[in-house]
Amino acid sequence: MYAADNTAGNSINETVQSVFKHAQDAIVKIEAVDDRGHLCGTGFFIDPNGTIYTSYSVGGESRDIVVTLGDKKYPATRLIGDPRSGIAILKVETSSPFIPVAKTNDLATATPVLAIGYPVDLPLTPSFGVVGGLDWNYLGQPLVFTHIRARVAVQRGEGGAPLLNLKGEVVGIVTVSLDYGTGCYAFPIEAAEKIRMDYVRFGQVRPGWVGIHVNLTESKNVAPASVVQVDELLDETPAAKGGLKKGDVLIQIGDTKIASPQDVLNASFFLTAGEEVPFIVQRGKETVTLKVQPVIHPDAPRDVATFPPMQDGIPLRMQR
Amino acid sequence: MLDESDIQKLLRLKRYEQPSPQYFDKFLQDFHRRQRVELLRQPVWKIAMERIEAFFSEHSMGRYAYATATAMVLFFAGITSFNILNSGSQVVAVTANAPQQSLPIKPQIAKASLPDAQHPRYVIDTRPASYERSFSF
Repeated sequence: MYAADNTAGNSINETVQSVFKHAQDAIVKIEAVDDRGHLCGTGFFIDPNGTIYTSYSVGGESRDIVVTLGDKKYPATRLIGDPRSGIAILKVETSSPFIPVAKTNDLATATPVLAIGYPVDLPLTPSFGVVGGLDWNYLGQPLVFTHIRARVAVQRGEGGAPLLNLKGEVVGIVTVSLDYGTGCYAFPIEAAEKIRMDYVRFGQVRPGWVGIHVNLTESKNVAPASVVQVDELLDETPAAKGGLKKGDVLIQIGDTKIASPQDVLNASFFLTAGEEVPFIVQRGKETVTLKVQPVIHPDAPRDVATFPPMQDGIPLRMQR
Repeated sequence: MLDESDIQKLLRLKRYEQPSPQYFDKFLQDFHRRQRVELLRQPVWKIAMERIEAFFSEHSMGRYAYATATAMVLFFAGITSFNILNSGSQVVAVTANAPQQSLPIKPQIAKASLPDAQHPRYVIDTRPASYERSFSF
């Protein structure tokens, strides 16, 4: 029994050390200036072209951004600062090592994870723990997307650090410390990738909005897999134009099946302004499929909101 | 002329005309405030003299003891003042003769005036930025 435990312990030890060793070259210290002065945080490369993920508080509004990679410093430009998700995407003009992306769908409570960042003025530091839960609200308020709550200790300066699984893949971006740094929230990488893909395709973030408010369903005669219905529907919104009606029970939005309010939040995050999305709803005893074309979300960053009007939908083209 | 029953009725009515409990608290606070204001109107030396007199009267000391104690207080105060003045002049002398770079005050001033880059703000939020206003989308 002891031998078996010891073997498992050695295995974890080797795995964690290996993940740290392989990821460390792709993790950078970020220094910048904002209205409150000089700030320091962490970021990591996501591709070989110098694209960096970090938290919004580090790179979302700051200027004079400098990235330290090894013993060299590089100026960085901001591609995206998205306050809605709490992340920012920066770019350094250099080739870079990078951390591969994982599918956070694989994550479950008690999955071991590792955060690696630059706490205060200390060198690169790993912190090991487990996924404590996948939360869609915090202190009674809904989050924009299901967040990874990690029982991983983080310190000041580790905002923007990668959260890795034991395969060495990034599963999230550390954006929030919880209860004096004893835990943290990480924004899931799959949601961050939606923002990055928006930038790659359109040169900006295009969060979609259809103009409905949903609530838990009150009727008992609904499909057992759905508990969410359209509670309020504004006139002249994409939802109204697409044919949605008050009382419709949501069964599926795009590829996401709706089984809980959490699913609605996640599905709505993946809406892209101008891109038609199928809504499958239950109306009475019928199942109806409707096509809805979202417009720009009212909470989108200002530079996005000033983009040419999308109300009628414009043809989308790949800009890469 | 009121008879006894009328007086009793009046007393019963008057019972409800008492001020609220807060009134007494306020009254006490106001009283203490006025007392302090009155006290502060006197010069400091007069207040000190009153305190000293009160102290000696409480300890029932004689006139000679009172004079002796006052003289001793004045004597020790004089010696203390003399020592302080002497030590101050020594400090000035040492400072004037010492080489400038060895003064301990210099590094402190230099540290305080360092640019902000030496004291960065290490960032991590304590609340999610990514709150959604409601289940509207």
